[in-house]
Amino acid sequence: MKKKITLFVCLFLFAIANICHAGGSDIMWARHLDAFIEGLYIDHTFACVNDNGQNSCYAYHGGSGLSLGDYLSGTYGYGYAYKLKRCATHPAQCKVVWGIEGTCHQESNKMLYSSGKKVSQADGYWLTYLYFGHYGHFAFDWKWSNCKLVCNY
Amino acid sequence: MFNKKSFLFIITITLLTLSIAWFVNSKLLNNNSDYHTESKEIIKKDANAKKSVIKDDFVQKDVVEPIVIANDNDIVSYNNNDSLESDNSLQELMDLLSLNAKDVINGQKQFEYNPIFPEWEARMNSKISGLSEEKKETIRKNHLTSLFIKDQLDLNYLENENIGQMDYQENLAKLFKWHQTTYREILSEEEYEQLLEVSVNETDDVIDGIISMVPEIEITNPKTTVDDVYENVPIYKIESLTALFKERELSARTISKAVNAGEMSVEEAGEIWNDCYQNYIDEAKNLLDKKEFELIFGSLINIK
Repeated sequence: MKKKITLFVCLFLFAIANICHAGGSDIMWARHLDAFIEGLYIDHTFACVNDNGQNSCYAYHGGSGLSLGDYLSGTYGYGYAYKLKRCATHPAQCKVVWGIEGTCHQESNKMLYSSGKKVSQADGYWLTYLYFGHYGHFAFDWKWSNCKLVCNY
Repeated sequence: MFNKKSFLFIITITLLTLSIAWFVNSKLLNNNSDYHTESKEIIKKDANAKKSVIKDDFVQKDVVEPIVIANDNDIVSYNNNDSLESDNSLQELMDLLSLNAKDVINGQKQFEYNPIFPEWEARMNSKISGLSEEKKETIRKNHLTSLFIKDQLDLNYLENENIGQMDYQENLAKLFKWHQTTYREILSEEEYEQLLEVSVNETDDVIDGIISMVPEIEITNPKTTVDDVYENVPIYKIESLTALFKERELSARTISKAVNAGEMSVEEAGEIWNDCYQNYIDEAKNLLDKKEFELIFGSLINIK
């Protein structure tokens, strides 16, 4: 009986591990920096990943704040660190032109894409969604398609 | 090691556990899946519905709601003081862009098949119960108007050297705020908050905050701020770089048009865009010295 229980526990843990690693093997999440800057309320989001024990955060803008801010609820997931990094280092295909194609929300979503998470709990997310969708510009356009190719999504 | 019964028991438990794992994974962790399924269904339905709307002559449809631009003789209709104020904003934007109501109605059609609205509609259905078709249609039309005006604002900014980022930002904020008045008129405060996840009172401040984050200069070095650039790069170079940026983005619009018209594949678009972007980088290198280039672009430059 003990053997059965041990085996059952092992299988259960294995299954739980599978759940957690569904999207990949690297933990990723978004952080957000909500603050009043020059009298205006802003909620800046950016994507972070744990790659081999090392936490790194990525954004094309506002990088000076990358060490600041808090975990953004609902963004913790498993994805691929190398995909996030590729997305963060190919401005031609993956950078969102702010205002025209999206904001930090869409840029963060692109980077988190391999985990399937979105920064939808950031303040004002749905206000920007109305113009830019989840991934910037109109989600299915050629730029996003090419970004997915570059990032190996 | 195990007898037959034990073996069967273990197999059953394994399958059961994996089923639970699959269920939890699909239903809880990816909690957007239902949402996307619903969206896809709505996209299909929407495509058919929209085809019939176009056939039935979209322009001639009777519209009773406030704010909506649906008739070229009736530029803006007012309902109460709030909408009067908001409609003035829209009128100002239309004047700025030299657009009349007919242009807006025709422009709306360009965005009939945009993928944003079907998913938004799915969200509205899941968040608000009993929203009438009439109200949904008002929301849809104002969404299309908003997307068209946004597109024209982008074009106006990119095509005119004299229009700076500050003017562009101001107009964007005006448009975003006008668009929100649709929801304020139609929804209760509670429904509004549920749908947009921001309170009615805070909306304008949140919009101002979002728009204020749009940088005056495109920077790809995450460690650099706009102030750093102004402190270290002569203004004439910043202006030239902005002109190059605008030229690049106009090329992107041309590519988009070709893709949308079926004249270019997504892959071809990607290749042409790479070349455009490379030209932009090369010209920026010619314009800026090494230190200035590094400050603005950083080392994160992978074109292909």
